[in-house]
Amino acid sequence: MSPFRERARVQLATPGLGAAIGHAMDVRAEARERVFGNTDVEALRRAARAIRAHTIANLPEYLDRFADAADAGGASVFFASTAGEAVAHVLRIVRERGARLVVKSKSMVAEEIDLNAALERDGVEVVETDLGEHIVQIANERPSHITVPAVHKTRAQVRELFERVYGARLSDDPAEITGFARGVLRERFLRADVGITGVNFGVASTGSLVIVTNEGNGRMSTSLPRVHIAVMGMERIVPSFRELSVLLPLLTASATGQRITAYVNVVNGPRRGDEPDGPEELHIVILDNGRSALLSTEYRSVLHCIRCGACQNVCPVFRQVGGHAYGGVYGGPIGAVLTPLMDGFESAGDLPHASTLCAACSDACPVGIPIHELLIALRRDATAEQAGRAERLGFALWSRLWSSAPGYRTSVRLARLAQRPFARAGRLRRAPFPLSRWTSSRDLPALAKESFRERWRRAGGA
Amino acid sequence: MERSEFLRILRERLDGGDRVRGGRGAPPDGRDPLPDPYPPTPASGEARGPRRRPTPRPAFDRFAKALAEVGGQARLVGRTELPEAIAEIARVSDGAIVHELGELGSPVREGLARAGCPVLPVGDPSAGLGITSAILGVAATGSVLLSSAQGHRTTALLPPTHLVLLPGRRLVPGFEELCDLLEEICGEGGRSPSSLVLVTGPSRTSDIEMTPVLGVHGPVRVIVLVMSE
Repeated sequence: MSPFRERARVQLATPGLGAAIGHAMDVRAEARERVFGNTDVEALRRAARAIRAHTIANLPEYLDRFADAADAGGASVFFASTAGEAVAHVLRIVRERGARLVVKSKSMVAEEIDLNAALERDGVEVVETDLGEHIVQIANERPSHITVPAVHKTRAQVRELFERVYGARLSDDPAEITGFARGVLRERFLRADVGITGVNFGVASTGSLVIVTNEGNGRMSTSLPRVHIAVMGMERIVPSFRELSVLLPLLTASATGQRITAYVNVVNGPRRGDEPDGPEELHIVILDNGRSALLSTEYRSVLHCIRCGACQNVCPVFRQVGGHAYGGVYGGPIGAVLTPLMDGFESAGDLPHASTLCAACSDACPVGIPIHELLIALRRDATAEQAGRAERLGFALWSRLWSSAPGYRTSVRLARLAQRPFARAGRLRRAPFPLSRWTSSRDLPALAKESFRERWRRAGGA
Repeated sequence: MERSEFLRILRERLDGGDRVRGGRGAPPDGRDPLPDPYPPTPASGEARGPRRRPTPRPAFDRFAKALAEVGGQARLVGRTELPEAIAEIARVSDGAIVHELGELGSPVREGLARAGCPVLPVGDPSAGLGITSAILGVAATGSVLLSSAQGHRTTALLPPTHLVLLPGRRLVPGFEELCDLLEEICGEGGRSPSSLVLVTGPSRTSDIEMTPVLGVHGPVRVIVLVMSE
């Protein structure tokens, strides 16, 4: 049994999980519908796709421009080709500043390079400050959704977690739990030496970082500690604020159904000489980590992704199994594309099969990534790389047999004989290997007693 | 890794990819130009939006409606009414932290005095009210833009109530107009403010069972006083 199946089975056996995720996803889908109202979504998607394609096709120039401008704004820019380089650079900064406490604002890239674990091994306390991320952190888990990290937890579970970890006495009321978390995290913000954030967009023309949050943890992390470190996937670039004016509302509308998030932070550099507060240093880490290898492949468009999570919200598989079943940092349809591309087929070759190919993901994607087509292409590549000898031989034989009419007819006649012991009322409920893999979860319609051609001939057709 | 080496690898791979052009999902034109003009978004001003009204409502009404939708409040006040409007809000607060407000400083202080609300030092954790001034407002979204050049960032962040003063003439229709301004402000290298934040209503979350809760790390109440000229 493959790892995805095992993980999915565990998730499916969790009581209430499917319902909780389904509910959350419905709320998101409705909000999205409402906010787009009578906006011409197709026109927007076309424009967004063109902006992303243009940016990625010209990425070296825009990254160069971004780094120059950020530099001029007083930031230190570091290019990391691997996760290891990025982690080592962050550790170096944290060590040199003698930092003991790091506050983190939600960052998928930090998850990708497993930054928390590395910092903790170094004896640094790392506190996730997005409420959902914090819940997941103190539960020793990983986020199960891009924009709703703790979607798999009930309010009672969250309360128990806070009571156990912080010795609090709380009710199940989300407002009360949130109020308590606010107090705990406020104290950490004020004490922290370093703030680490992700980046939603890097503006090439000005070197600005754009970070969206609703809770305000992004503002806290970029304002209170002495040092701000921003980690950014290299594809997060927009040419200028003009393109941001399209992509940012599209991100918030697709992600949470908001016209705009409560906070849009624009960071231009460290605190200026005449400013009363803000960090003294700004470090930007730009990460490749396998992304550039996709530029020369048909999978390039996966780099257009703006991490909104809309594909997860509509995916019938994701809605049942949740993000943890995907085993990677990114779950859902986009994770099923990204994870095998970044980690290889060996460990994640089964993910492209965790899809019904219904294409709801492609329909939902605000930047027009043909996710289901990429999944099909990945299935093809995984098979070419991984299929066993027996499987290849089997398909070769089948292909030979069915490329000629007599071969086809003979095989059908044989199959009709072979199904006899198993067919009941026109259906196969249980069949021997390899068909058992199908019949273990679904019926297979039995072959008809007579083929169309045979009936045609019997009826005297020409 | 050196920047030049990092970018060289990217260029090499992009050139190698010309055969597949942009790959699946890219526009058919292999050169991938930027479109022009861009279509309106849900955050666009109505002038560029798909709905055309015979008589466009005043910008303030749209601003107030959008802000109310996300749990904030907006009031239109004349210059002379400012002290009383401030006093009304400050009466329920134990103390206020105030931005450098320039010429608005004296009506604000007058309002606080009327309410008997002390002015506290920056960063005082007991302050219930933070008063700032915005450099721009966005009518379509009910947002205000704050700049780190105007004063302490924490004034708008730590107290549970955030009161923003916005000159009515600084209200633009949509997010596009705001972005035009940002391109200008942020393009000045080291002379640009280190941080700008667009604030749209109170801090919020729905991380626990998708239940909306106002006031997480930032203020739970946001009130914008739009000053008519």
